[in-house]
Amino acid sequence: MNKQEHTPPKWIDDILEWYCSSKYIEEVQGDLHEWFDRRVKNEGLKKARLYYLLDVIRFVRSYRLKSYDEFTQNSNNAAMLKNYLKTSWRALSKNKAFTLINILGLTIGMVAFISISLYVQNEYSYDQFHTQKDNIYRLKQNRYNKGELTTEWAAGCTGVGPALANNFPEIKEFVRMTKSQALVSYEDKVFKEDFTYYTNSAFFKVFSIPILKGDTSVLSKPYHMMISESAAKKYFGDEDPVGKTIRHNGVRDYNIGGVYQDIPERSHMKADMLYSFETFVDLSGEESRTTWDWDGFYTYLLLEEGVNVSSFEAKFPDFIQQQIGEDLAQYNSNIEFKLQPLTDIHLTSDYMMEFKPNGNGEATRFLFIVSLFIIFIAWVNYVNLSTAKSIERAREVGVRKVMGSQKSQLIKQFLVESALVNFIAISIAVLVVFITLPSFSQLSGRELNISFYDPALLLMICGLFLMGSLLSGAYPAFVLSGFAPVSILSGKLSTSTKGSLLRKGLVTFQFIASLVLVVGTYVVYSQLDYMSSQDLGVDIEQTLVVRGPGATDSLYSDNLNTFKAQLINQSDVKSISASTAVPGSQPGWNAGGIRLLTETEAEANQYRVIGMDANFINSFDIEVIEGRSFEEIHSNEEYNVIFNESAVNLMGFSSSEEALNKEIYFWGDTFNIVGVAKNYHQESLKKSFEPLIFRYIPNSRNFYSAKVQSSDLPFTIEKIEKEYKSAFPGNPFEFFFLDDHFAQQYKAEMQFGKIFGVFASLAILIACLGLFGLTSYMTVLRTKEIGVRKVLGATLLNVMTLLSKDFAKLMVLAIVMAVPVAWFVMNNWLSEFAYHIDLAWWVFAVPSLILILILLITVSIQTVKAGLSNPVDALKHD
Amino acid sequence: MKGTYLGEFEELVLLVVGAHSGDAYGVSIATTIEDEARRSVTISTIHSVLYRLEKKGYVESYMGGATNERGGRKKRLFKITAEGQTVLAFSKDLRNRLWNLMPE
Repeated sequence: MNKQEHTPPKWIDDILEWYCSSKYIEEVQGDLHEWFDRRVKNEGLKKARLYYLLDVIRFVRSYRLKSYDEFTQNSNNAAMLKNYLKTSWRALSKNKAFTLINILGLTIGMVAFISISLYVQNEYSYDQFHTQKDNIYRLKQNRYNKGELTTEWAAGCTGVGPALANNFPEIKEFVRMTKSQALVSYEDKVFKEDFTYYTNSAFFKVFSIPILKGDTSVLSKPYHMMISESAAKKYFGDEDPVGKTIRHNGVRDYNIGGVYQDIPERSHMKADMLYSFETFVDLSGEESRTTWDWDGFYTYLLLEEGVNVSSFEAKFPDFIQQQIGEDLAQYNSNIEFKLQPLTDIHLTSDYMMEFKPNGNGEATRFLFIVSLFIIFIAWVNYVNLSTAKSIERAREVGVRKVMGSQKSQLIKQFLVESALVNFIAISIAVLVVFITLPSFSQLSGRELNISFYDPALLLMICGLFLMGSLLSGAYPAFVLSGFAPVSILSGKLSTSTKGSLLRKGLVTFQFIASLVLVVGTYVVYSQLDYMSSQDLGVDIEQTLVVRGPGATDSLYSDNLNTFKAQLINQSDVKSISASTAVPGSQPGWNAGGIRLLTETEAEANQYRVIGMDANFINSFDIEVIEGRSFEEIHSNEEYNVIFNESAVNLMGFSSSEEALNKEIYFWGDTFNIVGVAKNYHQESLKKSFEPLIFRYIPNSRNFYSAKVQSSDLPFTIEKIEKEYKSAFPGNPFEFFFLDDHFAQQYKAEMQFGKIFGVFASLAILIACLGLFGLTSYMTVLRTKEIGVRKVLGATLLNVMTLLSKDFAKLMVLAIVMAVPVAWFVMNNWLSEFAYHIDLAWWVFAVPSLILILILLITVSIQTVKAGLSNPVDALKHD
Repeated sequence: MKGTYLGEFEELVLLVVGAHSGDAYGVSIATTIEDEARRSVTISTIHSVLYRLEKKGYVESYMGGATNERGGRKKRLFKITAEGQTVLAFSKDLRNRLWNLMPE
């Protein structure tokens, strides 16, 4: 028979031979080969090869598989694997300290990587549960004044939703939501609800929130509502809430029409109760359906399948001009709408009136990069230590080669060894992640869960194991297996320059990565420290703030005065003031159209307004630089205002003095400027000073701030609570400390700093482990040299310098390379803060010095030992 | 014959084994079916059908000797049994009777 021209691919045959029992291999393979030839003739080589693979796969039938015994005993591969494992184990246990360093480094790297990945995965899973998520968009609203962007709203004006829905066939449904801060009561149960909204019945058509009881159609009837499962439990216990009524702000009764499942925590949205939008219209008038001047309404659009979003969005400007163009032109203002994909909101959106603080996409990505760095540092350690050890292993390789080992077998042997190390490391790492997850959840501020049934997690663990085994094992495997046996065994082998160059490069990379992380941590903490030590211009210490009552009656002003009088009588309350806002958050009152009486409407501007009584400025220690503070004695005080310096600038006065006694137009009334207050930090130092107008509103009802000086704080709070309850019966007593409230604004940064700090320490720890291993090895290699040097009179210091010199050079190189990177990254981060530290030289010098110190100490543990050793011990063996 | 069920494809394979009178094996059967019945088959299907038929007792198999063909790999050769013949005859008979019932 003539030789066949084409044979099936060898690797597919290997698969067949691997799984197929020897009882069947001949008949199966023979038949398949013949069939392959026939296919080559009929359909060509390419197709035949493809079909051959399919055939081989199809032949995997249980009765043709190898039995367990056949797999383990009769196969050469399995026997070799056993042998590889055994020799790997021996090699690892021979060098216990080395192995420990390797495994520890890898484990820490993996723990960091898995933990951060869990966090990142969690951040990206927001709002993924909506089945129509790809077609749901939120309208983000930009308001412009005189061509300048003034406010970016998450919740825009009320009229835009219906106007768009009536004119664009692309829109299937629209949902409109607006907040109602409510005091909700049922029988004797009273709670202040912060997350209740008016909305229309399309809500449940657009969002995938299951209805547990009742009917969503109630959301189109006034004074009807839906309630979440947990809210229902809170008010009604085991009773059926459907058909019952609750009382809203002590005035109106709302009928409960249904119960919905709680909105998942991993949503940008939070709503415990939903009232019908018709209720809102009934309470605030027909124009609340259609006006474009009233902001604070979330608008969600469900688009038809296949709508091109960017071209749809491009139609908005013309449409807005057509609808309200004249009004906008009159006030020299503009309004713009952008579509935010629902699933992007959590990581990208940070605008006015978000449901709750969203995540930070940039920080999340950054953290992920950090975790990649850490795992790379860990792998680099393994590569470094293994190549450093290669000289010792070289003899083993030489003997193996002489005994007939093939190169591929040696590669396999080293890969098995690295797989073994990686396997041990990942097993420990998964365990550690599991144990530390609660603390990491706390650190990251997210409820993280680990589920071993999660395919993504399993894939990551497997991927980490495989990548680790290959990446960290490949270099040592190929280098070691490539040694020529003759030169090894005749002792001519010296460390190749290529290998040591790579090692140096990797060590430098480790230094750079650690240094960037340390500088980053240092900058974050310096900035946090700077912000908390800055003079705010307002005294927020020792201040207890009580939230004003939600339900009040016509006697409110009298009750407030009684409350204030009762408190000020207490020796431990120094002052008490009522206001519409307190420092630590943006004043909710944002008023446009304010101008000098002599100006035109087009010259008007937006200001933030705080209503306050006469005590506010004094009790918060805000400096009045011109004119006077509010005083009760003036009869006409309600029509006087105080500006801050930014407001003075915005209105175009050249000095504070000039602003005094000027008359301004504010929502139909005329006000007189009686004073100018020095700029103070109403909000975090991330923001620059906003133009503020103070108005005299003695019965402001949002916040009562008490300056307390007490040795027994709980007792003082109890007294205040008693007075509050007797002045405003039926209202829950809620309070907070102003400094805590103010610090809340830095929560994200503090968390960032903490997480950063933890992972920077881990990175340094791994780098130190690697360095420790590397120096200990280098020292062992040079034992004789050190011995000879000592005999010839070298001191301890000489020996230490000798051994640390190389690393010191690399460190300097690393610093030179890391500083620009760190500067770039941290400069970027700091630019988010209106008030920030400068990146002075010491910001880089201090962390660099600390790192150098840590690394030198690590190195010196070994070098001192070498320097102190008795040269006789080093030399006597020869 | 109670309890004997022969699938359409099984019957086809059994017929081909019978036609080959003793030297049928995977490829030859597949080739015949592809050529005669004009339908494409895979070797693995043929193999599993043959093993099923062997389990049912309609064919028996033995290993052929090594030849120069196909790299010296042995073939498993299949032969129809008496029982197999009976089944085929029964099914042919059944068909004939049913055909005769068909109006002209």
